Amino acid sequence: MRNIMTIFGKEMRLIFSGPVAYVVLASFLLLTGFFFFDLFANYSQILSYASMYQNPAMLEQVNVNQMILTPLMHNISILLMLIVPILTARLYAEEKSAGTDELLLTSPIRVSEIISGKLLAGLAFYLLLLMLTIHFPAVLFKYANPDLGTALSGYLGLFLMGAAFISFGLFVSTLTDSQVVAAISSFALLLIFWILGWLAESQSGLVGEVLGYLSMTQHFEHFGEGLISVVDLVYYLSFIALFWFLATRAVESTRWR
Amino acid sequence: MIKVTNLTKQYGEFTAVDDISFSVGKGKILGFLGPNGAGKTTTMRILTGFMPATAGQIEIAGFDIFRQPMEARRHIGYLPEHPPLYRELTVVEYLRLVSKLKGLPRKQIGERVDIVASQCGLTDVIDNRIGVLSKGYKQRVGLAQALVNDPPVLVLDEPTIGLDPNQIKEIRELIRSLAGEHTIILSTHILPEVTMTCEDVVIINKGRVVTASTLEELTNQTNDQPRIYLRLARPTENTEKKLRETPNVLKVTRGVEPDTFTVVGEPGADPSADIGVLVLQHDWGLLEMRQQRESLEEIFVRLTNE
Repeated sequence: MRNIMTIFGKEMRLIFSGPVAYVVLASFLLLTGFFFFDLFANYSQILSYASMYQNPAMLEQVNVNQMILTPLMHNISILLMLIVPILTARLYAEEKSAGTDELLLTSPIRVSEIISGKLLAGLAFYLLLLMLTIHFPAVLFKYANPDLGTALSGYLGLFLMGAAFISFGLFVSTLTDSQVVAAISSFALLLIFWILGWLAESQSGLVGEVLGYLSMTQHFEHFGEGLISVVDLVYYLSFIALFWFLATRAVESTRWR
Repeated sequence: MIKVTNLTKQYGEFTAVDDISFSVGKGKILGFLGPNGAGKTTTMRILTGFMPATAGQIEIAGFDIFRQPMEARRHIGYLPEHPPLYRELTVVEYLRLVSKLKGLPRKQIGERVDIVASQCGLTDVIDNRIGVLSKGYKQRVGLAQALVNDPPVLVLDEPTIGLDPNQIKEIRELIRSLAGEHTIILSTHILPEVTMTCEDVVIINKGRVVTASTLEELTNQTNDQPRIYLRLARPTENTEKKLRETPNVLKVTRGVEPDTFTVVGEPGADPSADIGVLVLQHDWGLLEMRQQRESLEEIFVRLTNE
């Protein structure tokens, strides 16, 4: 445990000593801020129409959960796919290109501890990123009446999905010594996990079901709608564990070549 | 303290290290020599557990590096060919990090960092970011990192590379002062470094050990064959021929300057006296005549070109 914390502390120190973290935070907040403003403006416009025409059926449909919260979560989830690979690219590739993996791998510490420390650091940074978006739902709670459950399950879904992205990105980062290669390939591969959802819709029967299960999108949609199911939890947790495991194997195997 | 037995490393078809064995006694400094690409770095990487071997065994302080990697690694300080530095950290942050990685008890960390920083001459730059340091300082930080947990075994891959002559002298003195308490393997292709710091020498070439002995034995070994350096004022055309005809002479070579000769005699028989008489008889004008030892450079060149 002490070793994991040593690696964790080192990673946190390194993440915040370079410009990448701040650029990622700033661009993420800029974009989510724009999404929120756009959704909010749209919502209030429809609301004012509805009250202007005194149309109860229309008012019924104007729902702050469905019109702001759920789409906001959805937009953030897409943004994550672009941002997480940039964040995770350096996690291991940088050690390789700087030769510092030679220090880590000749120290009396296990590969699984190295990978765990790095994964935790990625998660901690990501948690910070998510916390900085909390004022968007807070504004809604102040001026409207959204569903707390939906907001919480949405954040849980975002956290799990981001964690899955980070675990995956870390794995890709162990395969190369180039951060650019790591970032581009994890982005492309995450996109494929995303697209599986579209494929699933066009396929019928078992194939469609399997593809649907593998797709990141379908599991996340449930959280965004306020639905927490064991299937989705198991999906994300096993996804995180699988790529954590593959990352440790990849580091150990590169030594055998 | 360090025992390498039948070590072999293959990368696919290519054999980088081929069945090498050697050992280093407690407190000794071993110079590990070889031309570039001979397998020095590969051997050191296997020795420190960075890479596994294809075959063979390595014992560090009584622990097998493959079967008991954690215990063995705790006993090694390693300076790789490229010092493993985090450019963003300051020197003190970095040395603290390495102490933690090596499992040094928390209470000792501050004290050990101070000690190695002053040993390696880093006290003045201790709060500087490593990225802004000069190459010489980076090399010293790398050395400090290897020493920080006071390990009984030190593996140093070209420790003086990139240093200026004053720094080289300091680092060599530091390394020499560490012997006794520490067992050290030092790889280098700077040969005077070996003469100045090491007691034992292993020379490898193309992945094989060409010689393993003490430095003294190695330089004396070839002295069975006397080598005489001769400089004459008035050599004639048949000087070389006459020298060759002298009893007990094996080989005569003319030096780069035409008036110098190197005479190699039969093992154990010194032709110096006869040569002296010969020179006087022919009035060649003796300017200089001395016994020559084969230098480590010459031994190295001879052994690695065979």
